[in-house]
Amino acid sequence: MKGTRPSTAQRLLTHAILIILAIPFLLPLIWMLSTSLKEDAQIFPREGQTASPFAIDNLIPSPVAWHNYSDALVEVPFLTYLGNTAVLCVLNVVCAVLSSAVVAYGFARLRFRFREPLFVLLLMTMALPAQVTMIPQFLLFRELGWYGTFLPLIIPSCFGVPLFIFLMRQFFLTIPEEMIESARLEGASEWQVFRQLVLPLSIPVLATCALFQFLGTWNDFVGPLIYLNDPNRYTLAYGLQQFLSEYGGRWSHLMAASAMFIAPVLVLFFLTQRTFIQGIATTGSKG
Amino acid sequence: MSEDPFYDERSSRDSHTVRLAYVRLDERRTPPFMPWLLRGLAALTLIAAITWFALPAPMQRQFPERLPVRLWHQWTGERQPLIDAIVAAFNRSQERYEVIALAVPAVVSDQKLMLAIAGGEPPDVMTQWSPTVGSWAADGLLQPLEDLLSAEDHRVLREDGYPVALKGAQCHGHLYGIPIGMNNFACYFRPDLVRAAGLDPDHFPESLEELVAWGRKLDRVDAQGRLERVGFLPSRLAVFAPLFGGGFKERPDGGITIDNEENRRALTFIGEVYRHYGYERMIQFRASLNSGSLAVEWPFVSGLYPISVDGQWRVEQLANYAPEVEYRTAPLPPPKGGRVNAGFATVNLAFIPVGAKERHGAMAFMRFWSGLQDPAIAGTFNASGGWLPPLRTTVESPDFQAFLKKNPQFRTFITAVDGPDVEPVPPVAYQVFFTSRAWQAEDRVVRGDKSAEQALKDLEAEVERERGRRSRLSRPGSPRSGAINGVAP
Amino acid sequence: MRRDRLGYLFISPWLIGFAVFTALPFIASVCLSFTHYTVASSPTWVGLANYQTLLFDDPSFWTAIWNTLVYALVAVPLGVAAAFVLALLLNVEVRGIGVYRTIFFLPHIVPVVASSVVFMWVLNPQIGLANSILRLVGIDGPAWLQDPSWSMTTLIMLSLWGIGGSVVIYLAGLKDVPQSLYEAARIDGANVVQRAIHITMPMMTPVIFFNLVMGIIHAFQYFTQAYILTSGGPQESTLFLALYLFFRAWRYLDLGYASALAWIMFVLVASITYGLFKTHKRWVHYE
Repeated sequence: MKGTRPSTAQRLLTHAILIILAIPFLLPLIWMLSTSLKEDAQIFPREGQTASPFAIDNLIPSPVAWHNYSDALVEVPFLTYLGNTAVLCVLNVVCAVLSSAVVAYGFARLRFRFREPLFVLLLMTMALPAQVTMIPQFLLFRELGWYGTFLPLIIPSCFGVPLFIFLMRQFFLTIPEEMIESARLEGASEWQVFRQLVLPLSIPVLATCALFQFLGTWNDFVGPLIYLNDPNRYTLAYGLQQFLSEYGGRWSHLMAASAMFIAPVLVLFFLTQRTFIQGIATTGSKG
Repeated sequence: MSEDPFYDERSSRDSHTVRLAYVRLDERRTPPFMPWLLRGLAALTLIAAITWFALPAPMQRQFPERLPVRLWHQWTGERQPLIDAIVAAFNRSQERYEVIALAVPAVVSDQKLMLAIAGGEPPDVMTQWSPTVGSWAADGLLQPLEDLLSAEDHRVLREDGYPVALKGAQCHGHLYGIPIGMNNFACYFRPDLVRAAGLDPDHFPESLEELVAWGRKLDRVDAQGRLERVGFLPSRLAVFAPLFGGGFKERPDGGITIDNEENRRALTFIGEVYRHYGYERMIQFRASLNSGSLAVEWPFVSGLYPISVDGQWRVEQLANYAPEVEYRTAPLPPPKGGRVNAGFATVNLAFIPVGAKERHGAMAFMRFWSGLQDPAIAGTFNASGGWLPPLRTTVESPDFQAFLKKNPQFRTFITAVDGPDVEPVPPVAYQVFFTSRAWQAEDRVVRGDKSAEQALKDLEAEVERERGRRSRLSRPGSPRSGAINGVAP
Repeated sequence: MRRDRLGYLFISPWLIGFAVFTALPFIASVCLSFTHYTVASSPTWVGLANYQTLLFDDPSFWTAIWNTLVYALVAVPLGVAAAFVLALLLNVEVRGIGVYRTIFFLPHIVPVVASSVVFMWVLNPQIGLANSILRLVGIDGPAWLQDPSWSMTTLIMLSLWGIGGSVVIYLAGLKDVPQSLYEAARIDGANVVQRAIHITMPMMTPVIFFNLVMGIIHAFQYFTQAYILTSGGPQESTLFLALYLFFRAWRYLDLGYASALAWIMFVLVASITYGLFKTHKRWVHYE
């Protein structure tokens, strides 16, 4: 919180500014929703129409084609894709967040030789474009016998994700050294310090990284497609592509499917945003 | 102290007290054995999950005792059932092989194939819509197929196949794919709109000049001077150049005929139409044409583009998505004094990637799909897909004739593709590079940035530079110089 | 000594992962850059030929470098600034702030396949929403993605649409600014804007720095939107390095060339990032 509550004038001003800024953010999405509820034939301009369907006064579809949503669900094996995606997401989030936290703690609070050069190396690995390591990595996975399985899509995140390591390290650095020292002096092992002191204090950054990893895996399209050959293992992102065919796409269904694709993440974010953004739990008095 | 850019020991906060309070809260929270139990369970779940996913997913085999033939294709979404039907029919028709199909979206299909070849596990059969046979053959990705075909098959391809189908599947004397369909272009037009403009739809123009005049009569501009409707707009130099006597053909020295009199005239013609309307206005109008390829959004359907030069696939689209629209097709007329029935087509191919395990099964399936085995069955497939068959015998088969009866406008495309002067994209080693640069060259002309002469000259220079680079990189005698496949780099 | 081993133990997940999944492919791709490699046969050594052609005989390469630099040096600072300002606005405790936060985060989670389709239509010069709105106020909108002089600007604007991710990170960081500083400033008579400039900004410089570095690294890898929306753009106006690399690798099947390109990219990004690190102490406050 920013101290005392803002005055009514400040509140109204904030609302006004936010609403104005929200319009360009929302408009494409409102349009997407509106398209998802239109019949295919209604989406594009017809001759003799005075108003282009892309104009504002045509945002409300009529008739409202609710069946687009049920049609989209039936057109692809939705539950299969959902199941595969959920499993991949959960596993990736757990592995990525935990492993990154461990590594980040090492870089943040432990001193060892070559710590700085190694950290710079970590950052540099983010800079190389993925396209070029794609083939050697693919060959590596193939040699290991993992081609055709979920493993190439999960195992790499068990070894830490550089982005999260960087972010968490920055966060861990802000935890007072005195606290950690006093815990060590009280006889706690480094692992206990990490698990019982640092981790609980870092819920916001852990949750943020979990969110980003979840999003990354939820939206990942190329990964499953390259490593998997059984359509029963494909994910929702692949399912979304199914609405595009050699002819272009069933746009109304694609928009409906996309809306459904976004919905769970949206709800998740809305319900849990306090966790990332809260900062430290303000139990107890202010210092 | 190390010179660590991130580490600063002097960090202290006033919420220190808060944190200590939090820590003490934490210590009092859970009973002693719970953490271990939870941790153990979590670890077990993780191990179980990873183990389960380590096992390759079992392929759903309908006929496990047969030899598997893996097919990758790009017909996703609504079109996938068409391929599934072909596969099912093939599996039913014989007992030795089982084809297992996988629909791979076209945006990643090339990548997936390359990686699979690099990893030594390519599919047995794959399809391809873009003209890449020259490049891929030169780079050693495709297996030559002559030895898998019988003498009878060779005869059928030569005599019953449309000439362009074979031209698009061959490269330097070797056959690298089996044609399964073709794509070519003709004029679609709306008789109602044409009539309303005072023109006679029963006498479609027989020269390009007349067609341009027709187009001008159909133009409409709105109150602000913006182009609302354009009658006729040429595009795709490869389609128009043959009518002028030009076109892109492979030269004996391995190059492509790019910068010559006929191509220049064709490109100038295209550029002139855009100049007449105004380059800026055309950029805006053309954008509405590219908004998608599904029939319902095709401006032809909405009446904003009354004469369109487009592909044969529109016939089936119109039948399925806009059956109420009255339309007709007619061959693209040559300019006065130009060549009649010359044209351009691309060929859809099925091929066998290098390293594929089941060649014979792959070929059996390709023969089945293409009609080499039985044109009548292929006729059924092509009819349901609205495809242009590569064999005349397929066109003459009963099911396809029924399709033609329901869609008589399709005949224009069949006539247009049947002729010795119909050429595909030349199957040279730098084919993909050329296609992309050629399109860019044309784009510059229609934006008014370059003259036709300049664009073609530059294109030729670009292509020559790339050719030189490729031949420098693959010295003769090295394994990838193409000596194995008999393809010059 | 003990500390050394402990430190390495903590970062061991990353070390192992790096050695297996990153270092080997790295080295392989360096070697590849000195070869001519198409996947079907083994690579053949060509020495510096790829680099020579790239640097001296390839106009598209320099176009791509220019485009990427323009994007990185314009879109990244713009995005950082915009996200920061937005985060300040979203940090206010008014009712329904959660809804606003979700709205601004929404674009970040829309899958690229859907958002690209949406933008292609919204920005359609003839029938799109953007130009329809502009026409209402009498402006003749440009051809956006189809116009070589506007395409880069359009992509930069679109990048701003997705700043929700950075905003979340800023919000988490904002919560950590101690209240006592604000109290003291208010007692001294500073108003909201002054507090923001003299307290919030300096305290947030570590987070800003993080987002800047991440932004630059990601800008150099900018690929998906360009691939789907413009495919290199009208007349190569949106040909980015990562996109050009993709074409060279997978379309023209020239993986050695693409590897050389990737390494030049890497050197470029590493230099810029190094420069950022060297100068950051002047403006980043760790306290």
